[in-house]
Amino acid sequence: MFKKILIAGRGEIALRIIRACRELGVQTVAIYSEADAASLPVRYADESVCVGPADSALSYLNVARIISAAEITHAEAIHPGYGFLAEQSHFAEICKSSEIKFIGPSSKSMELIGNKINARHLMQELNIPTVPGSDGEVDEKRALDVAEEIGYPVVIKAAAGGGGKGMRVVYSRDEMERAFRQAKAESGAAFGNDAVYVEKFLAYPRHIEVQILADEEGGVVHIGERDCSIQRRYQKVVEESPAPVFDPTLRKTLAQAALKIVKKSGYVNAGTVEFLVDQSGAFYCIEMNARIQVEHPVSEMVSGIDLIKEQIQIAAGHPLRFTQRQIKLQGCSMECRINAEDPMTFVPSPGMITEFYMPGGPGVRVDSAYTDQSVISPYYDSLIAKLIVHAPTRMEAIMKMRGALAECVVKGVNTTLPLHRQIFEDPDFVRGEYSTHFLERFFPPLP
Amino acid sequence: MDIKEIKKLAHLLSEMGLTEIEIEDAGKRIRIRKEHPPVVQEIRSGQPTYSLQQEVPLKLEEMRPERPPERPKGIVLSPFVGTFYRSPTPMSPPYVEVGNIVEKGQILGVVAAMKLMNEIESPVAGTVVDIYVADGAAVGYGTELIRIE
Repeated sequence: MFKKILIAGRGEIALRIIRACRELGVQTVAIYSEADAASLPVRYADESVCVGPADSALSYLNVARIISAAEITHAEAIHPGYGFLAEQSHFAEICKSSEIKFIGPSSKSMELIGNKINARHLMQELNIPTVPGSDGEVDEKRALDVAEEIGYPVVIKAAAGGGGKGMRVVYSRDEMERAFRQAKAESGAAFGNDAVYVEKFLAYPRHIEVQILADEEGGVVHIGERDCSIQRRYQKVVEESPAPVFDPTLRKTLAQAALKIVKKSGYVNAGTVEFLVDQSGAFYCIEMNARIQVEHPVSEMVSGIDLIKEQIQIAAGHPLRFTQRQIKLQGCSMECRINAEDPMTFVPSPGMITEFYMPGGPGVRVDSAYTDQSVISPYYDSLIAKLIVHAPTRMEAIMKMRGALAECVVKGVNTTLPLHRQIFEDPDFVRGEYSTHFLERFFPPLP
Repeated sequence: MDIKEIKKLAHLLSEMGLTEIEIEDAGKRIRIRKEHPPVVQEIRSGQPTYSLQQEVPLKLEEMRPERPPERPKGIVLSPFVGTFYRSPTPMSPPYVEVGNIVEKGQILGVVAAMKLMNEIESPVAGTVVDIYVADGAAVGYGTELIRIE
């Protein structure tokens, strides 16, 4: 096992990794920007190194400074958390050449599955259905041809991206020109690569993803699925495991498809395979995420497996400690992402938290790196806390979440708490009948 | 808007790590800007632009008192993460000692990062009054290295 791990991230996931390391008896090094000098990860890590100013390009994204920080503290491994450098294959490559273990997949498998177009070819090779589309980068003319062929509406997506950036839905031929140029410009600005592709836009899809773990000896297991359909502009708002109203055969099929992709790509460590499932039960694999995800706690709650500890164990060369049969998924877990944003417009609301109280009690978990007097910096993402519940049944989990949401107090900044409270009272949500378009009804139509 | 309000805004600027605040109210426009902005924030298309909204009830007097102390003039900070060396090779004498008179641009030490030696030059002319970091010690971004008066 490693003696010391450097955490190349900030916020709640950095604290989450510190906790896992502590349980494993591993020392931790937090890196931070000047804006995060007073943050909880800095306070609770064994050591900390300031790597730069608030701008993440000069701190959390600065590979040279992060590697230097690992070298001067003699850290043997780096956990990238999520975001920042977590899915940058060149960072994994530099870690390797600096003889620092990157806690995640190899740069090679990251390149294979991190690029959506490469990933799509892999899925087709394995006969796993993908959303009908252009099958590769397109120019504007080809985009029009493909759209005619598969039928409107279609969606233009960034080849290198995620998180909704560089994405445009196109409902008719005359909208194509504008949407295409916007998507291309946005992809270039956000990912430094303006390649885009086109695919069919599904009317009422559910976003279902399968959590996997793979060790260096070829051992692969799945930890069930999560339904992350409650999204706003492709940003997840509520997640749950298991997926509600889900055919058990389909559940098995998705898990098997995910395992096939992982085995074929030689993927090692924790990862997630994402699917869209339409009303008829048809499913399409959309992508694989080569990192631990924000919503990983719901899978931890139903399985009793600490995914961060497993990531570290796997990186240290240990085989998986359980077989698929030994993994028992129990009850229902749900997560609310409480963001410092206006609940109606989602405009970020940076500032100081003047009052902060998070609920507790059996089956209630809070992953957060804030307290009262914490400053939500305008430089980073607006996640304040992840509120997670676990109960024997979905209805009990909903009741628990309603109570927990009612207890939450965050003052000084705007938060999405009112939206969460509304979602958990919604009759369709309570019945588990929703798609990725669920949240649209809460808001005026998008421009 | 009186001087008190402007003072509050100036505080807010540094507390939040911002470089500029502009407010328009009843025909009056006030812009507060920090010289030499430490950060060039790239505004990407499609990203929401942040604004400090009036509904955020920031109580400035309640803001965190543990602000880093004002650094006295003449303190040289490490611009890199790495290992600080006082001399070019282990066998050679240190670049500077306490009491030495240095010129602007003179080399004070090096910070080695990823096998690259980054020379630290004196930003001012003066006398070395303190060396805060031992030879071979690890330094982070912004660590105080040397004081020159």
